[in-house]
Amino acid sequence: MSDNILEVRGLTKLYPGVTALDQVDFSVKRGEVHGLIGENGAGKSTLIKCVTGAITPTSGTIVFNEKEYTHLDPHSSSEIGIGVIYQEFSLVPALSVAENVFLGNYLQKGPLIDFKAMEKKTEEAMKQIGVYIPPKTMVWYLTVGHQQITEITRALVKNCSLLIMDEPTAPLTNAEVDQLYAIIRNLKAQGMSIIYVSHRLEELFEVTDRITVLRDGRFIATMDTGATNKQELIKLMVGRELSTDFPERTMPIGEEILKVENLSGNGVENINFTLHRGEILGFAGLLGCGRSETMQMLYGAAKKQSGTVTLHGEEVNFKETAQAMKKGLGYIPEDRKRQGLFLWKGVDFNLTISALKKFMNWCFLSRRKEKTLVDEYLNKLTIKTPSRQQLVMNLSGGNQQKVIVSKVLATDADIMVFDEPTRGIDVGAKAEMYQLIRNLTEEGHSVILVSSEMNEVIGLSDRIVVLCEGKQMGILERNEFDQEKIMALASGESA
Amino acid sequence: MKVFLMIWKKFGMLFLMAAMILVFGILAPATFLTETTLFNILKQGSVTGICACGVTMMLITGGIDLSVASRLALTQILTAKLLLAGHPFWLCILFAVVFAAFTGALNAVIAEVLHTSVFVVTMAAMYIYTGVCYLLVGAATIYGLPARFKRISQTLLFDKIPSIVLIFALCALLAHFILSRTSFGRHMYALGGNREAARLSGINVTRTLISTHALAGGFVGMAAVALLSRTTTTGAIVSSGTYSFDSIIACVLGGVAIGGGLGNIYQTVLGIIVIYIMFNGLTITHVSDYWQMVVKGVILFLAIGLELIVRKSGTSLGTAKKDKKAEKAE
Repeated sequence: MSDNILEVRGLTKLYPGVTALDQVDFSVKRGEVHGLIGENGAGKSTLIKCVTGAITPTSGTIVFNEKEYTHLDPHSSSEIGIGVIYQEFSLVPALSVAENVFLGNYLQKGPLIDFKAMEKKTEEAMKQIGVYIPPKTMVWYLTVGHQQITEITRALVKNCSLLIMDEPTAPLTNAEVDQLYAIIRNLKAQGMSIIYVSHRLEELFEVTDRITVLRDGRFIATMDTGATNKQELIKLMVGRELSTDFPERTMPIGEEILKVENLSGNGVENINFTLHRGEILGFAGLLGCGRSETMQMLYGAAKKQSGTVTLHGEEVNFKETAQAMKKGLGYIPEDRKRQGLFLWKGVDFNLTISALKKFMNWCFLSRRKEKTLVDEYLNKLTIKTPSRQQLVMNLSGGNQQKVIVSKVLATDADIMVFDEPTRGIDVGAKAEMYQLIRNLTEEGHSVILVSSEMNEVIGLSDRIVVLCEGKQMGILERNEFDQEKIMALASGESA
Repeated sequence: MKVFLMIWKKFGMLFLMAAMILVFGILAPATFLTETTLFNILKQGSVTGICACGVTMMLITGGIDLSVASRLALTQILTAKLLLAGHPFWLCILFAVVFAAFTGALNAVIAEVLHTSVFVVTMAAMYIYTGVCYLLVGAATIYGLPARFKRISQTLLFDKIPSIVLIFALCALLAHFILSRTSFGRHMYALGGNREAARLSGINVTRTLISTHALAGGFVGMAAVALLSRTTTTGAIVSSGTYSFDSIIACVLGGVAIGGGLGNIYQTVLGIIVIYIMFNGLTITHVSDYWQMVVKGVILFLAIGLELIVRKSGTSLGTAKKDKKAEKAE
C-alpha cells in the first residue's frame, strides 16, 4: 500500500486569460495533517475544488487510495471518501444535528426514516472525537463552532479517509479553536488524513505535520513543519519577481485632502490614515481583513461606530452613499456583478445612473445630453461596446469595470476608491486599468487602491496601509515596500 | 430558437392580438368586429389599466402589490360617502388619490421598517382593507351618487369615445413619462435591477421604494374615481374584484418582468388590450366564465414561462449578438 492517500499529478486549471493552477504536484500521506498555504489567488481553493470535484481540472490526474482519476464530481468524491468543510457550511438549519449528519443518505427502517439509529450513530461518531452535541438539537440553535463539529461528524459517519478544511478557524472563538485542535488530533489518531487550509501561520505550526506552499497557481515547496519557520514560509509565499511595468507618476503629490482618525465599526477598529491630492494609497491584506468594510464605512454604505473623517478640512459624517457622492467620494465596489452593475440594463443606463442630475431639462431627462455624456466616457475610457444600448452583461469584464469607473467619474468624484479593480479581468485589461488609475492621479484625482494582488499594490501605490483581521498593522512608505514585510504584517506578525 | 424568442419578445403581443382578433372575428363577425366592441374593450380595460400603470412601477422596482383591489374598494366607499355628504367633486377626487397614495406608501413603509417583502405586507393589507370595507358598509350597496358625477367616466368624446378611456390614456402617458424621462423612474429600474448596486450608486433605496408605492397608490385612487363614476354604485364586494391579479397579469403578459428592472408602460397597455380582447371575445362567443378563468391562467403561465426562457438564453430587447469573449473572461 502506498504511503500517500492522495496524490495530485500535474494538475492544471485554465480559465480564459488566467491560469489558476499550473502543473501542480501535491501529495498527502495517510494519517497526516497537511497544511496548505498561499496568498489570495495562489490557487488553494482551486486545488481543493478540483479534488472535491466541484470543478473539473483542465489536465492532470488525481490519485486517491491508489486509484487514478482524471476528474471527479462532488458525488463520486464523497463516495470514495473525500470529505470537505468549506467556510460556508452546508447545513440545513431547520433540521436536527442527526438529520444533517445523515443528510442525503438517511438510515431507514422499511419505508420510514430510522431517527433512533441516526441519533445513536451520531452520538457514537461524536464520542470518537471527544465531543457531544445532543443529536436532536436543531442546527439553527447551534453556535458556529458546534455547526462545524456537525460537519466534521458528517464526514466521520461517511467514513471519509481524507478531510479537507478550508480556513476552519476563521469564524471560531479562541476557546472553539482549542477544541478544534483537539478534534483534529483525535481524527489524526484514528488515521484520518487532513488537508488544513489557512493563512494563519500560527495555526499551521500548531496542528500540521507538513506544509505545502502555493504561489500564483504553482507548487512551490512541501516541508516538514518542524523543519521550517514563519520567515521561510512568508518568503516562499511572496517570493515572486515583481513586474516593474507600472505607469510612473509625473505630477507631484499635493496637499492633504482626507484624514481618517480612529475609524471603527463594521468589523474593523482604529483605522488611521491620510490621503493627499494625486496620491495612490494602497490597502493590502488577506481576504476578510476588513479593507472593503473600511471603505464602505468611509463611503457611507455601512454604519461607523466611532472615529472622525475629515474631508477637505471639514468633518463629515455620511449616513448614506448619496452624501458621500455629493462630497466627491466615489466607490468602485469589489464585486462588479453583485454591487456595481445593472446587468440587464444598457451601457448608457449603467453609466448615467449616479449622475442623472447632470442632464435634466427642468424635471425631464434630456436624451441628447445623456447621449453626449455617454459618448464622452466611451471615448475617454475606450470602452468597447457595439452600441450605447448594449446590455452590460454582454461586455467583457474589463469593459464592465470601465463602465463602473465611468459611472463614478460622471459624479465628478475627486477621491476614487478602487476595490479590487482588476479581479477577473485579463492581462491586457489589467494594464489598461493601471494606466487609467495613473491618468486619474495625473489629473489630480486621489485614489485608494484596495487589492489582493501584491504586485499591483506595490507597483502603483505611494504608501500602503496593511490590515489584518480588522486591525491596522502599519503604513509603509514607498521606500519600505517589500513583499515579505507586507505579507508578515498581513498575517498578523508585527515586523 | 433564439431568433424566435427575440422576435416573440419584440412582437409577440402584437401577434397574439392579431391572432385573437382573427379568431373572434371569424367566430362572431357580426358582433365582434364592430366599433362598439372596440370601445367596450377599452372601456372595460380602463380601470384595470389605470391600476396596472402603478403595478408596472411596482414590478419594475422588484415588488408586487396584492392589495390593489381592496384599497380600490375602500377608497371608493370612502369617496362615495364623501360625495353623499355633499362635498365638492374636486375635493372627493383629491381625497381618493391622496388616500390611496397614503395606503400604498404605508405598505412600503411597513415593509422597509420590518425588513419584510412587500409581497407579505400587501397580502396582509389585502385582508385588512377588505375586512374594513365590510365593517364599514356590510353587504350593502351604496347608490344615489350625484348624477353629475357620472360625467367623469361616461361623457362621450366625439360622440364615441368614453371619457374613462381618456383618463386611462392620460394615466398611461404620465406613468410612461415618469418611468422613461425622470430620474425617479430611472431609480425604480435601478432598484429592481440590482438593489445593492443601486444603493452603492448613491440612490436612497428606501425613499425611492416608498415614493413608488405612493405613486402607484395614486393610480389606484384615480382608478377608484373612474370606476365609481362608471358604475355609480359601490360596495364592499368590489374588494373581491379581480383588479389586483388582472393588472399583474396584464403587466407580465406584456413583458414586464416579475423580479424587477425590466418593462415599460407600452408593454402594460398592450397586455391590457390583449387580455380584454380575450375576455370580450370569449364572452361574445359564449364561452363560460369558468373557462375564461382557465384560459387566463394558461396565458399567464405561458407569458411567465417564455419570459424565463428568454432571460435564460440571454436575449432581450435591443440585444445584439452576445459577446462570447466577454462571457468566457469571467
